[in-house]
Amino acid sequence: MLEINHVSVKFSADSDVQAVEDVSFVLPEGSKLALVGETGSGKSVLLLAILRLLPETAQTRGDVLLDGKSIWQMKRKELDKIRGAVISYVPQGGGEALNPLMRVGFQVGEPLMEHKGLSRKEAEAKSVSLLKRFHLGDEEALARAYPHTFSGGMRQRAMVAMGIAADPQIVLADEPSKGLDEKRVALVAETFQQLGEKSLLCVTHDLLFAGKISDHICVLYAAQQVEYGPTEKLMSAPLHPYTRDMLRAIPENGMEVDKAGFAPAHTGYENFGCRYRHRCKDCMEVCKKMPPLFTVGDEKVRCWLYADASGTADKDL
Amino acid sequence: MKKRKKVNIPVLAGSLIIGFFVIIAIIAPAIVPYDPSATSALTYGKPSPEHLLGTNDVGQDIFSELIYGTRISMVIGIFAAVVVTCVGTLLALLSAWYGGVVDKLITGLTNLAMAVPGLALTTLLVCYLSPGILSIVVAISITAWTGTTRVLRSQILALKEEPFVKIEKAIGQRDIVIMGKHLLSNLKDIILSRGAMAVSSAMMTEASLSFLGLGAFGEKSWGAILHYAFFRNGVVRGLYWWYLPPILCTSLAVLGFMLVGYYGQQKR
Amino acid sequence: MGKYLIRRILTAVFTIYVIITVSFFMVRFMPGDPLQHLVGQEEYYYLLDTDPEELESIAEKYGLNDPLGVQYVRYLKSVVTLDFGIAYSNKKPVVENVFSCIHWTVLLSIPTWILGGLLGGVLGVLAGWRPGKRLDCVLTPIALFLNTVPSNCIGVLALALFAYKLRWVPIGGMTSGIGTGWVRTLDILKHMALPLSILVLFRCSGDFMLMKSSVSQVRHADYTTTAASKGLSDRKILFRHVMRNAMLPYMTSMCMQMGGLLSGSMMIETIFGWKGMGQLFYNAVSSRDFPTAQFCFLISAFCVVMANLLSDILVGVIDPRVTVK
Repeated sequence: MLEINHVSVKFSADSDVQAVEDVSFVLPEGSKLALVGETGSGKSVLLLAILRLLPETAQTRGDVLLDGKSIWQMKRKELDKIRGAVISYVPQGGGEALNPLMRVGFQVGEPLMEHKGLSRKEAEAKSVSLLKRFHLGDEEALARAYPHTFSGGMRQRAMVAMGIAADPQIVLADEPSKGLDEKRVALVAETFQQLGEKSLLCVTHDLLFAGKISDHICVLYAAQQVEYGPTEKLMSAPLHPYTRDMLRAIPENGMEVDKAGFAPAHTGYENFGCRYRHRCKDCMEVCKKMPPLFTVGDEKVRCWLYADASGTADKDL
Repeated sequence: MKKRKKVNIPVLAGSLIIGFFVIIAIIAPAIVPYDPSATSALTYGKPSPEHLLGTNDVGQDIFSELIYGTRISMVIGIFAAVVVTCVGTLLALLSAWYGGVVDKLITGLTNLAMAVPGLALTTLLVCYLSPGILSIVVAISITAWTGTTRVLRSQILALKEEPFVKIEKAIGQRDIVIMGKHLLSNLKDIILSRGAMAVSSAMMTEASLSFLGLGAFGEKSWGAILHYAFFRNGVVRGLYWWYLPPILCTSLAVLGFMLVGYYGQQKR
Repeated sequence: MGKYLIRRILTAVFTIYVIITVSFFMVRFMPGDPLQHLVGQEEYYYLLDTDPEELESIAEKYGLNDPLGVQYVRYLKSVVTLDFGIAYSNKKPVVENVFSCIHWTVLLSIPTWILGGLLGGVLGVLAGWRPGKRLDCVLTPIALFLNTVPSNCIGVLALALFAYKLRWVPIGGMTSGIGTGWVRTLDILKHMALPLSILVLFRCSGDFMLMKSSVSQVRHADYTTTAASKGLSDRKILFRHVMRNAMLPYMTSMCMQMGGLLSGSMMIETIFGWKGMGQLFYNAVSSRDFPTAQFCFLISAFCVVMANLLSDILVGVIDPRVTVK
C-alpha cells in the first residue's frame, strides 16, 4: 500500500514555482488510480517525487509511505532496493527516456540484473520474453535494436515491459498515452489491463484513457487536488465544475471547449481563492476564498457547491 | 507576478569594464601626457612622475602608448565582431529561412570553414595582405563567423515552427518583414551575446597576431606593445612595467566582453 | 554504416581539394605581383631595380606567364608530389625544412593532448556530476579565467617569472647542446617543463569546461532519471549511463584537438624559442617566406581534415543514430 501524505513540491530557480500543493491519497494493494490534469497541473512532478527522482532544485514537504514505512526518510541504499523492485517507474514514451546509445533489450532487462541477480546475458534473454508479452512483433530483433528505431507506441510498450521486469508491486506510469493515435492508445491501455494484481498509479491528461485503466480517479488542477472518486461515478456524475467541463470537452460528448483561459500561473497562488473560479460557470462570491476538500459520500471535491452536502471538511485549507 | 528582475552581477561587471575601456578610447587624446609615437633620449626609463609606466627602447612613453593602444585594440575587436556577427546572422537567416539548395550550400560552406585551422589561415592571410586595420579585420573574420551561423540557424529553424511565424507566412507577409519583425527581434538577445563573445575572441586573436608582429602597420595595439616588450628585451631585463600593463589590459577587456556574452545568454 | 563512411571520406577528400585550390588562388589574387610572393619581397624589389630580365626569367620558370588553368594543374601536381620549392630562408627544399622540425612539435603537443585530455576530462566529470560542490566551485572560476587570458600573455608572464626571476628553468630552446643519452634526455625534459606546463594548463581548462557542461547536461536527461528509477547506484548511473553519452562530444573534441597537434602551439613555441612547426610557420610568415608558409598551412589543414574524418568515423561507430540518416 502506498500513502501520499500532504505532499508539496516547490521549485525555486528565478522565482518560486509551486508545482504540487498538499496532495494526499492512498493507493491500496492491487488498485488502479489515475491522476488526471492538464499540462502544468503538477501531476508528473508528483509522480517523480514519490521515488525521489526530482532534481535537487525541488523542495519537497510531506511524506510518502510504503506499507507504513517512509520512502522519503530512507537511506539511498535502501531506496535503491525499492526503486524498480517494489515500485517501478514507466517514463513518458516521447523524448529520450531510453538511453539512445544502448540496446533496448539491455535496458529492459537492466532491473533484473540489478534486483534478481541475473547476468547480463540472462537479463537480455528474459527481456525478449518480456517484450513478447506486449506483442511488439519480431521481439528478438527489437531487443537488439536501438531506441531511435522504435515508434512512439513501441517505445511506450517496451518501457512498460521494463517497468514490470523485476516484478514490482506498484507501477508508476507517466503520460503513457501522450502523442499516440487512437489505435496505439488502445494498445497501451490493453497493456496496462494486463498488469493483474499489481497496483498502478498512472498520470494522464486523457480522461477517456483514465476511464479505461483505472478504478479510481484523482483530478488535479493548478497543483491542487480538486476531485477524487471511483472511476465510474466520476465519469458519469462528476462533482467539480472542472471535471464536468473536462468531460464535456471530450469529442464523444460534443467537444464543447471552454475558451475562458488557462489555469493561473504558478506564482501568486496565495489569496487567489478557488483557482478555477475564472473559468467556472458556477462561480460565486464565496469562491474568492479557497474551498477546502469536502467529503461527499466516498468522493472528495474541492468546491463550495458541496459545502452543505458534505458532512466534514478536511481540517486544513 | 510582482517578481523583481534580479540584477545580473556578471553582466553588470562586464558592462562596467567595457564602459571603462570605451571611455578611455574616446578621450585618449585628452589624457595622454605625451605623443605616443614621439621618441626621446630617455630609453628603458623606470616609472617616474613624468613617465608613469616608464619609457621603452626608443624612449616612447609607455603610458601614452597604452592609452592609445586601447583605441586600436577596441576598434579592431569591435569592428571584427560586427563583421563576424552580421555575416553570421545573414547566412543563418538565408540558410534557415529559404532551406533547400541555399541551406545546403551555406551549411556546406560552414562545415568547410570549420575544417580550416583558424589561426593558421588568419596568419597566412595577414602575411599575404598589406598590413593595415582592414586586412587584420578581414583575416580575423574569415573563419570566425561559423559559430554564430550554426547557433542562429538552429534557433531560426525552431522559430519557423512557431505559430506566430507560420501565420504571418500563411497570410502572405513579405519575407523581409517577417525576418525583421519576428525573427531578428526574437533573436536579438542571442545575437547581442554572440556579438559580445565575438569581440572577446577577436581581441584575443588580434593580441596574438600583433604579439607576433603581424598586427596593423603603424598602429600600436596592446598586443604590439607586448611584442616590443618581448622582442626588445623588456622581459629579459625584468621591466615588468612594460610587459605587465598590456597583458592586464588585454585580459581585462576580454574578460569584460566574455562576462557580458556568456552570462547575458544564460539567463534565458 | 558503409554508405555513411563513404560519404564522410568523400567529404574529407573534397574539403582538402577545396583548401588546396583556395590556397592556390589566394597567392594569385592577392594585391601585388604574384611573383613577389614567390621569390620574396626583398629579392623582388632588388631584382626589379637591378635585373628586370632575371625577374622575367623567374616568372617564366615558375610559369607565371602561362594561362591560369595550366598553372593550376601544375600546382596540383606539385602538391601531390610534395614539391613546394626552395625556402627563401636557408635555400633548402621546404619539405625537408618542415620534416626536420615536426618531431619537436610532436614532443610538446602529444603529451599536451594526453595529459590535458585525461586531467581535464576526469576533473570535468567530477565537477559536472556534483555541481556546486567544492571541486566545482574552485575549478570552474579558474578555468573560466584561463579562457579569458590569451596564451601568449601567460607565456610571457611565466617566462619572466620562472626563467628570468626565479631561474628554475632554462630561458628557451630545446637543449643546451650538452651530453648524450640520459643527460641529453634530462636536459630536454628541463627545457620542456615550462612550455609543456602552460600548454597542459590551457588544454586542461578547455577540456574541463567541455566535459563539465557535457556531463551536467546528460545528468538532467530523461534517460538518467530512468536509470535512477531502476534502483541503480550513483556509481552505476554515472559509469554505465551518463559517461557513455557525455563522452560523445568530448571524443569529437579530442579528435579535433588531434588535428591541431602540429599547428596549435605556435604562440608558445615562439615565446620559448622552441624550434618546431609553429615557430617555423611564424618565421616563414614574418620573413614573407611564402613557400614555407603555404606548405605549413596545407599540412596543418590536412591534419585537421583527417582528424575530422576520424571523429566522424568514431561517432558513427558509437552512436547508432548517426549512420541511419
